[in-house]
Amino acid sequence: MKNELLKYLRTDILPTEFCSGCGCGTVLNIFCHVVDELKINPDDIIMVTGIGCSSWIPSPYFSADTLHTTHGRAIAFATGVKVMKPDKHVIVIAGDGDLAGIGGNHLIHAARRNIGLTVFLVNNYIYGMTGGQVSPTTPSNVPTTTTPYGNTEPAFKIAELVSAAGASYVARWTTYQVFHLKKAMKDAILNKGFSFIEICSQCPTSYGKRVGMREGIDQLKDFRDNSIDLKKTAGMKDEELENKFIVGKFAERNRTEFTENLRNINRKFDEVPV
Amino acid sequence: MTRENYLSKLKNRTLFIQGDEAAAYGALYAGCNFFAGYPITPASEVAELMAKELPKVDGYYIQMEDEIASIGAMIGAAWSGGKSMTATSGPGFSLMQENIGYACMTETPCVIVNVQRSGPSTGQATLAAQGDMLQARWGTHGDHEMIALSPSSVQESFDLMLEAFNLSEKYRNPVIFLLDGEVGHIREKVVFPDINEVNIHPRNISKEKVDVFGGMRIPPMIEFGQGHRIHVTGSTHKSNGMRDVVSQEAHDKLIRRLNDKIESNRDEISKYELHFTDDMEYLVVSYGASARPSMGAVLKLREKGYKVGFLRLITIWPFSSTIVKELGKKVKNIFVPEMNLGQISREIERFVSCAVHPVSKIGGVAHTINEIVYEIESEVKKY
Amino acid sequence: MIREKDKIEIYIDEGLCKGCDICIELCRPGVFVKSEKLNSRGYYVPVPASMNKCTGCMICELICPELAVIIKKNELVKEVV
Repeated sequence: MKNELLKYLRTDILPTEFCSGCGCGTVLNIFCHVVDELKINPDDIIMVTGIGCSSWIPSPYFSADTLHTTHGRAIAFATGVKVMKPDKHVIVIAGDGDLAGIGGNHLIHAARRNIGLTVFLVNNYIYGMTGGQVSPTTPSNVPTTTTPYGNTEPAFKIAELVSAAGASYVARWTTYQVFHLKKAMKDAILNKGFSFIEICSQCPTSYGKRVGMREGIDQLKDFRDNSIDLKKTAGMKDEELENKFIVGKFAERNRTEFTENLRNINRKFDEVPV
Repeated sequence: MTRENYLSKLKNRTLFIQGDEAAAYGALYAGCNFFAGYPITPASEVAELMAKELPKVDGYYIQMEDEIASIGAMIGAAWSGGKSMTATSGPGFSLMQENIGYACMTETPCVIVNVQRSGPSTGQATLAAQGDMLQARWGTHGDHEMIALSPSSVQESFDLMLEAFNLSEKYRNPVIFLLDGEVGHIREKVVFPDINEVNIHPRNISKEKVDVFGGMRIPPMIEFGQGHRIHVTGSTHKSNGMRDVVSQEAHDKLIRRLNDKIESNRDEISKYELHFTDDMEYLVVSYGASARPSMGAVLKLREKGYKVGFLRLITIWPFSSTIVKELGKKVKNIFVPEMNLGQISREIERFVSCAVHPVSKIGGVAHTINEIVYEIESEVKKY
Repeated sequence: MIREKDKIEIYIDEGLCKGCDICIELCRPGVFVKSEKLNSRGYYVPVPASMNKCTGCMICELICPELAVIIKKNELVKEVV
């Protein structure tokens, strides 16, 4: 028997090229469930993506109009798409290296602008496709191929960053909390402004094995055992939150959407002479 | 307001404006409805005029966070039905190079204005140069062809912008509009045409699901949001757009086609202007701002009795090799005044066997007529 | 006691499965066991051996990175406990 959700995928290239146990496939799976449950016609979705493993979720697998851009620039390209196609769901799925590293500037500015994009940042804590180099979200002290003596930098807290930049909707979940993640994806897609979910995801091949978790399931158990609800973190010290995954909804605000503001300006000229 | 209403009000009007502004008006005539940019001297006037006028034609101006974002947004808009443009100068143009290659690879019609200033690096931010002629051709990595145009006057900045959009649509390739700080900032008279008399090349959009990246030399485009579920990628791809990054044949076929569609139309794309070439013994070749004192120098030299001809390049890339080759056979020397250290001069050398002399001037100040006359005269007197 | 319960069926798309064991390990009631034979691509696929334990929570279907676990919830059946 075949999964009915395969109708949302470019099935001639399945199975995916993701490693066994990779979280990217779980994100793809839940995204298909969300599109199905929201009854969104894929013809009304435009996927925009960058470079890296998680960029492969839409390109090539999810079957919709797909713009597979240069490294880090997905949100910039998506901005042009959304301005010209404000009625479509313009959805960006890419990784931590892509959206928070090389493309970090576009991420915070899109949040500030509150352009009606939906962004799913799949955070696997590493540059996976290039073989396991340190990323802006790699925790301190973790050894990677480019931090052989341990990562000397602190990691970005991306959900907190995007929330501070002004996004309409911000959440963080892991690939273990599939039901919360599914609900959050729906909320994000239905939110009219800039909506963002940081999805903490496992990468057994390039990250897990460096922190003693060789299989995808090992990292999922880590997510299960070490996630903590954002609401319960009030008053907790930084040391208590070390190595914890703070999950939950970080922001939900009502702000006017950027392309709507642009269109309002144009309407002023509908009847006015030059 | 509709674009037609807006343009009907400009019909036959005469304005005294800068080259930057004329380029922006040219874009509006061409149907440009999306501009993403980032401020930079001496190109900001293009953005400022687009910010003011685009909403009047129901178009969109966005100021992005940098030039990389600007060209990205512009390419995204082009695939979503927009006629897109951005404008920048050297430092921003350098930042755009990666995505200029993306536009070549994905065959995205769009126009990139580079109002050239002195470089490298920050250089002389407020002063003119023609130092990015080869960067426009070879700036992005990998084998690719490029279309680049360079106007010499404010009126031509307007007229040629229409051509820039038309070429980008016809060949599905980015077009680089090589202004310089001189022509960009100078103020001259521009007469606006009747939009009904302007030739606009429409985008070749297929309503049916077709191969957008092959099957013919210049395949039609598909617009996002029409249900075709098209896959657009900067990776090597098959004619249906799906990645194929390991096959030698796939890459060879794609890249040769992308080069061929420009190369095989070289003579059709190539535009230039000839003066006094019938009886000439010497040839001056120039373009953009430096073509203006060059023409003056040619006239002065002819008054002095030197048989000098003049070739003004309007299309820079693909290079007008056919005419250069032909004229090169008729003369003993070719002189190339340009505001760089000999970039186009070097390109000319590839096609002629006579001596080619760069008449270079850098530092942000255009050549004077006398400087060019002096250089040519002192060289010619040697013979 | 009689209670109403979904009639649940679990299918594994063996062609897609990469044998990551996530469904086996995360199923709390322990419905799955590992197959003894390899699939065509060389992975040991899961087998829903203890269907009577399945609560229909759906985590296996949602978390499967390959969309290879399919849960069918059919008509309600009455079950004698």
